[in-house]
Amino acid sequence: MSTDAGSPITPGPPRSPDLPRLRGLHIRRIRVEAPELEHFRSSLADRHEAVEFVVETEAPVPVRAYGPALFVGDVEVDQSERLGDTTWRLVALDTDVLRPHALIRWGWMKDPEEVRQNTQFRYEPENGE
Amino acid sequence: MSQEAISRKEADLPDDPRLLSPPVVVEPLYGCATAVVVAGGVAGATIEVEVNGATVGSGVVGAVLPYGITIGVPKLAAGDTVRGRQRTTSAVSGWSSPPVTVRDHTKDYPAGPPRPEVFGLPLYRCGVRTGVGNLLVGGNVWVTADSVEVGRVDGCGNPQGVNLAPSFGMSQEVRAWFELCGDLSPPSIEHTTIGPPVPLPVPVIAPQYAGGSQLDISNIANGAKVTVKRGGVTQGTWGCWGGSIRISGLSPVLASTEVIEAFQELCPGDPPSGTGTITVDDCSKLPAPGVGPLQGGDTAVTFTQYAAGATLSVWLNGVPVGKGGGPIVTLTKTVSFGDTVIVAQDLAGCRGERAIKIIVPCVDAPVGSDPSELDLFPVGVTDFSQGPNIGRIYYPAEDDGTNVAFNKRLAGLGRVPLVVIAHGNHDPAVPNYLGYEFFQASLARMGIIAVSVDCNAQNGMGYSITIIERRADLIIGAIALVQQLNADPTSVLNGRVDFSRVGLMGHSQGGEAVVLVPEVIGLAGVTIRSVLALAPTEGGATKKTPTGYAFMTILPAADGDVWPNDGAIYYDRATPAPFKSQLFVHRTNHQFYNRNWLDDDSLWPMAAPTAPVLTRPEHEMVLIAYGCALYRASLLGHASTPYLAGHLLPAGVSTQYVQLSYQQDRALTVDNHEDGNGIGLNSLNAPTNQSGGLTAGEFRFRQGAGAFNSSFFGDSMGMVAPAGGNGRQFVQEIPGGRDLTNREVWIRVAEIFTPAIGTSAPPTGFKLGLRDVAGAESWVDSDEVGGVPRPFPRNPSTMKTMLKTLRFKSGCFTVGTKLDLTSVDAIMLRFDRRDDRALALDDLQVVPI
Repeated sequence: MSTDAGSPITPGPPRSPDLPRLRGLHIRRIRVEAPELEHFRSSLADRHEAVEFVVETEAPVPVRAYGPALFVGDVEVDQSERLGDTTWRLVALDTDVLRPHALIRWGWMKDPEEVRQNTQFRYEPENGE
Repeated sequence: MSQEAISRKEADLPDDPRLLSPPVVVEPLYGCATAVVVAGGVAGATIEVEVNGATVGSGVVGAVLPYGITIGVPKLAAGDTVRGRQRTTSAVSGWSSPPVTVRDHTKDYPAGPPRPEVFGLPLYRCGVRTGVGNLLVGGNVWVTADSVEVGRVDGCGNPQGVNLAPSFGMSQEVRAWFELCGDLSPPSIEHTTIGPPVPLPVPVIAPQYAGGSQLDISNIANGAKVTVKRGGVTQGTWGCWGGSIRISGLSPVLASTEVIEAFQELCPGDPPSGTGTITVDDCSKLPAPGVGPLQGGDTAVTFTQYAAGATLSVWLNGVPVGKGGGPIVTLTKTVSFGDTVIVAQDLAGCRGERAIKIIVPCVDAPVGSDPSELDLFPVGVTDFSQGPNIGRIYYPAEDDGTNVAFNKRLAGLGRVPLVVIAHGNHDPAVPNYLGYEFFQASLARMGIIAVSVDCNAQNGMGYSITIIERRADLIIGAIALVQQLNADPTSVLNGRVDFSRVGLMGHSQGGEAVVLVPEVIGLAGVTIRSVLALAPTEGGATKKTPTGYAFMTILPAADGDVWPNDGAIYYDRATPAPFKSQLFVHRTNHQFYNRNWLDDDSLWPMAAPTAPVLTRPEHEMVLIAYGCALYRASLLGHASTPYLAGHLLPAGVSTQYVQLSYQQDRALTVDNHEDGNGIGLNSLNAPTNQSGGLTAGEFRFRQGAGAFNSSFFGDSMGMVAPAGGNGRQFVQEIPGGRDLTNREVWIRVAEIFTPAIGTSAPPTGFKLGLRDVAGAESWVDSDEVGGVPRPFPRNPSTMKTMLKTLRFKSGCFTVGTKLDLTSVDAIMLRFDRRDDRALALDDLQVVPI
């Protein structure tokens, strides 16, 4: 019987963490929904109001350690949740720091300023797209 | 440690034909052993072994092997003292010192001796010999094939070759067994023999030199017979355990241009391998030997490379102080910081003319063992799935397999600690929680139950506090489920788990979750002793202040995913209770620590361009070696913190890429800059002062407001000594003077990343000084304690100033000075480099050793 020399598994090409571009954005105020946890009380249970940004992207967002984020002026909105293949919800828990009419940019959480993508959107509370 | 190749002749080194170093009696030794192992003997020497002052055995060194030779002795008893010496025709060494005191193995191994490990895998049909390791010296080892004993050595070494009669058959189930004092270890892993490769690989003969009498031949199949020829004349055939073999006793010694051939065979009738050939080199080509770390206070030199059968010589400040067979050559005099050590090698008929000169540094930690190599128990595996709680458990078992019984002897000693592992965010179609099985198995082998939790329900969802909390909920849920299993009479874990000794490990988002768990866990009876955050995220889900347990973080320097190396925030803010540890590991990425994560994220834009990362096995060795050191210290009470503090290097790890930070609770903090009292006062509330144009200040070492520049990614207050000339000096007063005898001065330091300084520039540094109450000063350069590393080169926009801990041994300050170490009243920093780079400094401490 001959010896199997093995068949090395070659990783695919590096998965680019490049973000797809934003296609749409909807903003509204919401009540914070703290997660229901089995073993402890969420730190969000004492939060009441937040601002929700529902975004549509041109393609699925790659999976990596950090999620996508919106940058409302200088404020990073990084509480992200995937709702569908190209639909994401981002939530700003500290609403007071969001400045109306601020330019909105798009990127990954913790992205330095120079790599954030410009968008056509501004922060207009309750006005939607 | 700086080394310089020199000519032995030009160094004019005297020879002392009567010098012979005492050999090393390998520890530990246990009662009932009927053999001891002695290393360091030169080829042809007679080794004598003495027990309780009486010579009881001897042996002649044939092949000079790193693990020594085995010498039979009358059965040892606990409390016996054993020592050895070697004798040649021209010299006799002193006795090894101190004598080795024989121990009771049941104290070190109360659950039985370690399980043997068969090596040279795979095992082949027709194999006539195999290797067995992980043995206690002097015990009895035997090998079975299909449950029939086929080989045995009573009074074994470690490792031990076992000759097989009959040779292995096809598809046989092979195990090795061990006992000492009638105490049987668990058997080895069961291996199944297979047919040998056709053709067998061609043996590789290592270069050898005229005058040599030994050969190293590698690329040998397990159990093969190796035949050696000189000038076409067969010299003999040897059975080999596979891998490599050292042939000794060649007579006459090898001559220049002589042709040596070797081939291997396994089954009669099968063709032999091709023939490996070398031509013997001239004696003049014999290279200098290679040496391992050497530091002030050492009493031996460890050689890492040398010709087969060489005699290794050591000179200290021009005087012969050591001669032996390696790899350890003991010295007649302790080396001190600043001494000059020269090493060379000779063969029986060849004097090596190339030598290495070493100026002994203050600190250059020796290589210890591998903290993950403790292999005591077979490993059982069981899965759980109950509602959202899914995972895989590795545990110490009666035998290897799924759902096999828990190890009875270990269980008889009490309950066993638990480690819970959580993966991070990745493709939820991948079984991410199965990516750490290599680590789980290592922990189970040493007696720790290791659970990996499936958190895929939270994968692919993005990042949020909610997601981190849900991951923490799953981790706590897994612990709660293990509590159920512990209470379930039908479970293999019934009554086995010690919930007062729990460790956590999390990777990426899992790393943030395991920092959160101790803050929120409310399960009765559960005490978290240690947390390992591997490349963790930090996004606000925790208090960011690990407290009340031993904390470790591993930060891959080429991380293209968690590119800010956020674990530095946890380290900086953690309380050392009893210690905290940070590994900033150059040339490693985010993903290769999980076996199911295949991408090389160092190629992602936030990291690239950067140097090629280490291999996946090298990543895994960092995790299991340092991770096992953490859990052995915090959960098993083993003395493994020296690996985290940098006093020892873990064997098998690419430690040249590991930058350690470490703090422990037993230390005098001179200045951590967190007191809010400004740069003019230190943490002892004593004054500091600056001179020579220094304009040092305190800055936040983090991203954002108050930072010196944007290259700081942790969260600490520290001191910056900006560029400004090479006469700058900073003095930290110590009120009243302190006795720094048997102390180390620790300081965290980094070169501050500045784009203008190219990545190819040599490292910078500084000097640290002590001053006594009489005003005497003494200085040691940072290069003498390991040096200040350059910022790790990666995408320039994400390069970092990452501090590491340098340790200055106080004894180094007394060499050639009048400093009174018993009354030190100042620690001083001198920034004296002409390259004039800014340095970041933090956490100046005096630490007992």
